[in-house]
Amino acid sequence: MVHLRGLSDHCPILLSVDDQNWGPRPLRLLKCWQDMPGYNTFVQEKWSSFEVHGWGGYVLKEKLKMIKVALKDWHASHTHNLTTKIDGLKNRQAVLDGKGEETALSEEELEELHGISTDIHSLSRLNTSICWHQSRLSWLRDGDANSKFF
Amino acid sequence: MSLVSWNVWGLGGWEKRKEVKDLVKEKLPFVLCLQETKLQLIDGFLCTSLWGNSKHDYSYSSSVGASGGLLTVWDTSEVEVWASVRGDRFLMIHGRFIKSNDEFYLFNLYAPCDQRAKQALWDSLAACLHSLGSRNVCLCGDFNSVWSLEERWSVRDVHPTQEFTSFNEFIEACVLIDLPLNNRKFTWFKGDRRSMSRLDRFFLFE
Repeated sequence: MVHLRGLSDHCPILLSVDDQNWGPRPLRLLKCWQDMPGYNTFVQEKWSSFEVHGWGGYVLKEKLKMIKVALKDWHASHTHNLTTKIDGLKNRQAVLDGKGEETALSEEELEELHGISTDIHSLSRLNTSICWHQSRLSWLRDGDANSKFF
Repeated sequence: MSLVSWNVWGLGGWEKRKEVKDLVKEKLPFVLCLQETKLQLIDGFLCTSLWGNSKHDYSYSSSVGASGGLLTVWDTSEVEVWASVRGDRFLMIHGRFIKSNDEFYLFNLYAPCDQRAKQALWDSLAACLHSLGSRNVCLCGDFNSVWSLEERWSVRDVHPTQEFTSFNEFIEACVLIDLPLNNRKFTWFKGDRRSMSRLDRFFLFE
């Protein structure tokens, strides 16, 4: 809201907030979601599982609202807290590496170790993508931070 | 809850202080952000002359010579401020709204006219916002920039310039939400009426 400027060459501006005039929060997506296995099917299945009745515009609006909530849960279980997950994997990897120095690893442990390396790689790639979203700083955008490597 | 932001263009004179005081009295804002105070020193006495006798506190950064100067005053019965940070051309307060218990960061800023200095401010703000992560952040003040042709009118032709691009990049990179103006198109008027712009705004980041 603009007010009388009086003696200044600028007008004062007023931001007022009450519960009504906030408007809906925008629906945001992370680019890396679509690279996650299962994301497309998840969205498709969710989207067609919603049952809304009314005219087209209303149905779309309600469905978008519902998919937003569903995506939030999906994000929490799939792409949230990646750093902790990566650190956990790295620790487990170190344990297995250490053990491998002492004795020969069992078939399952070798399998696990192999899986861990793959997971670290894919999670780091996701993490890089999310960092890029959050920071969008030019050095990340220009492909530093080893993002080219992946 | 309301916030007021105003480039006052000098706060030395009594007339100007009275205008601010009247605005505060009318709007009863939680926080008042002023730009271009053109004052090197601000004391409690001056703030009381702006805010009146109800409880308040303030934080300011000095003008450099007669240019710039920021002042943020808040109502201490509504807002609790834990920290105040003086940056180059911005003043940030960090605290919470007492009633809703919402934590916030509020940046009061005055962007320079020079394009390179402006770019430096966008860069330092972007880094600052990035380090805060996704918290409740509000930026307000005189950005000295517009991001589209509709936000400027001049008797001369207006062309998109580097200013547009770098301001847009900043908004996009920081994922800032621009709040629309309700009742007018421009907030700044050149004395001779030969140009008008929308230089003052609020941005949110959540």
